[in-house]
Amino acid sequence: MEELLDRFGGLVYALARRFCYQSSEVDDAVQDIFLAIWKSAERYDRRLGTEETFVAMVTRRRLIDRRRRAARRAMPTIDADLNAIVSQRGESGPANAAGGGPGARGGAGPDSGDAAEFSEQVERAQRLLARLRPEQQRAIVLSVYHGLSHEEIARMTGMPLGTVKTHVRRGLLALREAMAADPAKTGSDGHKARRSGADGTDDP
Amino acid sequence: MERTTPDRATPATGQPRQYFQEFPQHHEQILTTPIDPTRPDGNPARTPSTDISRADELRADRATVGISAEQQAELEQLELRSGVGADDSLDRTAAVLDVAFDARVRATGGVGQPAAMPAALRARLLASGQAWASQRRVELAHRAELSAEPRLHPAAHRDPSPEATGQGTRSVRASGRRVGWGSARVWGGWAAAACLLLALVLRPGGDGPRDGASLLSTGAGGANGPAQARMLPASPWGQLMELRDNPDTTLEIAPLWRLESWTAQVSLGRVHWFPGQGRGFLQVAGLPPIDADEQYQLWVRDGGRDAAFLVNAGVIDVSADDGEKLIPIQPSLRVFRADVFLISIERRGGNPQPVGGRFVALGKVSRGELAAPEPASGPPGTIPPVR
Repeated sequence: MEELLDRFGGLVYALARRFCYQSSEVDDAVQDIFLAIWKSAERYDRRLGTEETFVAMVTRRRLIDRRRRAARRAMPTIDADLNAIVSQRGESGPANAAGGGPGARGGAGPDSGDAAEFSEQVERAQRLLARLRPEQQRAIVLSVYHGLSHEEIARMTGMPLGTVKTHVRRGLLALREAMAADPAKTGSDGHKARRSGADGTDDP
Repeated sequence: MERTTPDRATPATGQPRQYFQEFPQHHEQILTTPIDPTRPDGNPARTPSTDISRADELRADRATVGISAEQQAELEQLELRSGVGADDSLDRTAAVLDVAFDARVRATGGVGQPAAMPAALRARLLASGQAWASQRRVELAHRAELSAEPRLHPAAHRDPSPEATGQGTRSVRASGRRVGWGSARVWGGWAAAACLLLALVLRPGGDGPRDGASLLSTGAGGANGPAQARMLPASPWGQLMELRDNPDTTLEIAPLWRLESWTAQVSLGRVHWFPGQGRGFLQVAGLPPIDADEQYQLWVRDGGRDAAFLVNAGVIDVSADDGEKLIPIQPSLRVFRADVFLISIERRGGNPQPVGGRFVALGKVSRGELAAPEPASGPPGTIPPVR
């Protein structure tokens, strides 16, 4: 159990800190997430990805659920100044910055083959993201990283709501296909591509 | 054969077809819609590309902003219809991207280095994890105890009293519930199962990795986890009693009636459904044997899903000498609100959706009417017989 915390605690904690609107929620969220991980561990399938990917996926789902529940209780003041929030969270970073190491696990170093594999996935995801069209990159960064709703992204960028949804969906599909096409383990290698030639990437 | 009164939701008179018209209209559609043999589920008039597009839309939403329970149900139906099964590849893609973004932001000085998890939080997590592991041990011990419980013979259900069975029966308090034990032989089985359990959960390093293969398969779900739970099968009767007597579970009962003999009000049994667990038990007797290339199949009509589809709850084997059976039900999909259970005759191995409309039994869930129309809840340690 301690080993589990050592290995994934940083990843979960970093995601929770970013997702939670209030810092007071972080601890409860992390506890809730680890319980979910313990309970859902039997569903982990090595063929579908690394343990880090599984943990990150479970973590994101729980955090997204918490955010949806919180939104039903009271809408946060995110509408007040979207640009300020995005700026504060480093919006200029993921969409535009080049390079960047895979040290995203909040302090836990790559201490296993799985972790190293996950680091490769992360690096590859960064490269593949740069191949998307700029508007797709922006929509995906705002949605996946900043957790903005489609409506919020539409208001912020001026894009029609349907276009935002399309950019997010097609961008994710394109990245999934590109990652699955990589001979190296990508975390999507268990997914059999159902749609060849998925649009959304700008081939070099 | 004892005849019982149908439940309140059941029409007192009429033919099965009238019932279908009166109750779930989609059954009428199932009966009248031609089967499309080119579709895995036999349902026509769906455009596969439309399904895929909608499924991808829902998956993308789930991976980014989340989806409602209704949308999740819709996605599961689309995945069932497409035959590809559950697909969380977009969730995984988003998870990897999220971490990649985080790495890039920090690499470029966007939000600084991540804060380490506070020691107090780590201690709290360890405490809650150990509490959870202890709870799992108790659950597993309980299951081991139940697995050694004597399989209750149908005759014992009909009349569990010592006078009727001709042997002494005593009740003991075991883990907070009363269980009828038939003989000292039972204790031997219980002890053996307990030893097995102790060997499994209390071996050295029980909380740690066993073979270093995977933290998720050992530290979290290993010695204390579901994999071990699967190694300790409890009898269906024991499982049912455990769930039924647990004050934290909700039990719903669906009395099953034979459709062909509707006016005769012939009971075929009942379904014990635990909505919180998404599982239940079919207690059935009196299903006539059918052709060897056919099987009975149980269906759930889920009020939380598209009314045009029934959820597959498994096939049922029946032989001429079968008495009363208690069959665990584990539906192929999550059931949000079980409204109706149906039994149909299908090809051996079952079908994704009913084919041919040969329904033989139907039962509506009686919510809040657990005692009607028959004593569904007997005294602790007993399950009332079908008839």
